[in-house]
Amino acid sequence: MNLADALLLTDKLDAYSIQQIRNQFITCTTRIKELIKPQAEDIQIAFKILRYLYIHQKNIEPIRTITSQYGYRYPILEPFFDSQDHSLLNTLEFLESHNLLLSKEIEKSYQCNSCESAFLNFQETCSHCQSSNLKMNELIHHFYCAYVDNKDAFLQGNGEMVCPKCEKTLKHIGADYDKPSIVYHCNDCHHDFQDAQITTTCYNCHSKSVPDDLVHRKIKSFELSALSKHAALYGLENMLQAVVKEVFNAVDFSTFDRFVHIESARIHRYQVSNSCLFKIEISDLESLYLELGEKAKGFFIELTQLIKIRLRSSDLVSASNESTIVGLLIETPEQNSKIVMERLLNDVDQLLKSSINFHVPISSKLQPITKSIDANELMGLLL
Amino acid sequence: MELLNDALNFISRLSLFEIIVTFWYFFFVDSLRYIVINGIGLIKYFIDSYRLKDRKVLARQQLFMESPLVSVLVPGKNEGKNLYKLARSLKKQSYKNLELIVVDDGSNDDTPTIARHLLKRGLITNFFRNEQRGGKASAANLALRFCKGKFVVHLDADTLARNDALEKMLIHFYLDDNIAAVGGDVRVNNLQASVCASLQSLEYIKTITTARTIASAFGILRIISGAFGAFRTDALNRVKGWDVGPGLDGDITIRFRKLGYKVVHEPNAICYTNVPVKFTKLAKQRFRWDRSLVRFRLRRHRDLLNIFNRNFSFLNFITIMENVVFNFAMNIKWWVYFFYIVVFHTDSLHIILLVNYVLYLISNVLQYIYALLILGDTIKKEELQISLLLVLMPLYSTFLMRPVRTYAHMMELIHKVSYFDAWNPWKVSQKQLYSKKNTQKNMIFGQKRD
Repeated sequence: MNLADALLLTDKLDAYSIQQIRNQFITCTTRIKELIKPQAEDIQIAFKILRYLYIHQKNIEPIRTITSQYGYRYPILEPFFDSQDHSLLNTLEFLESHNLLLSKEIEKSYQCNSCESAFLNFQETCSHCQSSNLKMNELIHHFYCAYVDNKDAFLQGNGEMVCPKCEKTLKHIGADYDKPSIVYHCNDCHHDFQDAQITTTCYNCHSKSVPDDLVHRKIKSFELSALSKHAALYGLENMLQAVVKEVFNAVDFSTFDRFVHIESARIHRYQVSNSCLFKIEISDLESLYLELGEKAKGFFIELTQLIKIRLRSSDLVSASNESTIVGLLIETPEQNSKIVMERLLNDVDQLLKSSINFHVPISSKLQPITKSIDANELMGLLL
Repeated sequence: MELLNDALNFISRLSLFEIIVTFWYFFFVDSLRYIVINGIGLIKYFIDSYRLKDRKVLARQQLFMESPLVSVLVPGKNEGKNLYKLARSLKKQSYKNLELIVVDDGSNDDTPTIARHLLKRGLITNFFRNEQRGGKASAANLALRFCKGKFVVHLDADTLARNDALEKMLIHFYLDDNIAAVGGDVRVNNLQASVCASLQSLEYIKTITTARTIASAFGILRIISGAFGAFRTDALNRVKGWDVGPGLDGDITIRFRKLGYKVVHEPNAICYTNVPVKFTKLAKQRFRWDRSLVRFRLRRHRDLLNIFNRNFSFLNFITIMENVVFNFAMNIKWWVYFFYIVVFHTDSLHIILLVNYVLYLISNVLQYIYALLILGDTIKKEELQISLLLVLMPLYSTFLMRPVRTYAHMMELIHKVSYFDAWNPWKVSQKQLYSKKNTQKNMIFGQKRD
């Protein structure tokens, strides 16, 4: 039902409904005609999902369910996957991290840190012995004599409440007494406390945990981004990030980050080297894709090759997202790095003027690696 | 200088009888009370201390051998900022078997966050919070309800006890089984913050260290300070904890006395507290404190003055009478004396005031010497440094403390202002104000009828 483009109900078989459904199909087939044949590399599921969403103009909505251990499902995507493992969520994460899907948080979910099941039993336990054998007592504060005790101490056999200290009858809450708080009593270790420890037990794998240690997952809905139309039409391999990877044989961003940490540690240790980080960011990439269409890949190849010419083989390049290229200029002092960047940007400018006739805003940044700045801070400053 | 010559001439012209008549208040009230009686008390204190010396060593051994759990109760509102320091200072105590119970009485600052953090770190043993403020007594009673110690120490969050303070107090419970409560000596921490604070430091040494030590030696101690007092938990449970204040510390002490328990003051169990640094704040504080004489001694516990009462106790009678006579009646007499010299000695008024000033200065110096004898080597350098301010003490006592005290007594007598004090939430105060008659029937000596 979730995958259907339209529903034809037997009790609504009128001409208007049929025409509407027909229009729906026509729209879909029009979009199918726009698509180009995918490259061999573009047969991955992520690409198929993008095309499906583009053709049918659908969003990905989660539904709560007890039929999945995660506590929710994305029915629209399930036919793309054989098994109910983590691959569906991994694919969504991949598409989101590449700015091909826009997400919106629907709710937060606590999941077991062992098996990621959302089916957890939350219970109050003793902060001393972790026993769940607790008694919850309401405290009573008698205004007149300031006596404070559990409600049981005030209760008489006839249901009346009498103060054990001054023997006055407590009649009206708010006037004679109040209930300032609740105190738990552990029946096992006899500890009294107010802030019970919350412990969770997983219904799936039976492991015990505390809320702070659980997996806090954001349950999101997704919709196509501005970039995703281009990706759906021409393929993921047509995207800047894919081109960077292909031309430079580039490492992924997490590996790049690791290299920066190593280089930073090396510079700090020996204090003789100078290296620089750089960033080139193309703004408004969506307009570029719309303008260039199928030719985008060719443009990106030219662009990245220009960059490659200006770099040494010892330098390291990666893409932090679809519109940002980052690099590590090894053993290059800041002054030299500035010259490299100036030349590089000049080349890019020439390319833009000669190959496309509209303005593409490109910005750059240099960040020298110094012993005084921690690697994490360096990456923060760069990005 | 001319004034001094005039004063000497004035004195030399008077016969001994005339001197006594002119300065009768000093000779028959203040010097009798604070020099003569205190002097006798001081001698008694030293004799008692000498006699108890060996027994104290044994009592200390017994305390450490038995090593009972002691619950330190810290009720309060918005005291989060003081909790870490307090918890750290308790860790340094020579007596180690302690549990620290903090009760947050409806704080509206970050006290709960701080307290929960300290609880997690193990610096606090247990933490309770009342979302709605119930007043100090109910917060202390909540802590008492859930404490597990054989003895209880009630401590204000902004007080820091000396490392041996708890030990010194607890020893008394092993000296005499009938002792239910031991008062600690409260001294001023921020004595160098202002002249006002310095004067209070001198005053605390006089009215707490000296006066309570001597009252304790005579067996007529009427207050265990709320800021720092140790109690037997069974005795506290017998009286079902504290009653509504302000003045709950004095009230519970009297309730112990009524049940036949002994209460003592230990001048060597020292804690330091911060006092108001401005005279306006000090006046407000004392306006609250001084009302308890009327509210508790004259009203609630007036039965102690009834010699026909079947539970009449001479010591309890003296305990209340001493307070009523010297702090209430003689205070009124002082005003009579003041107006008498204003009206009948108008010409020589300035000389009489000067002579009075000198007499009271001598009295203060003597009392300070008494205090030094009691304090021994526990006195700090800063406390000695401010002794020069003794010259201001007659002015401080006469022109600040006395008017505030008189105003407090009168307002409490006429308007029962303590029942309208924001120190307690109104829900609590109004019950005190409007349910008085009913309770007199139900309470005997502030305790439930058995």
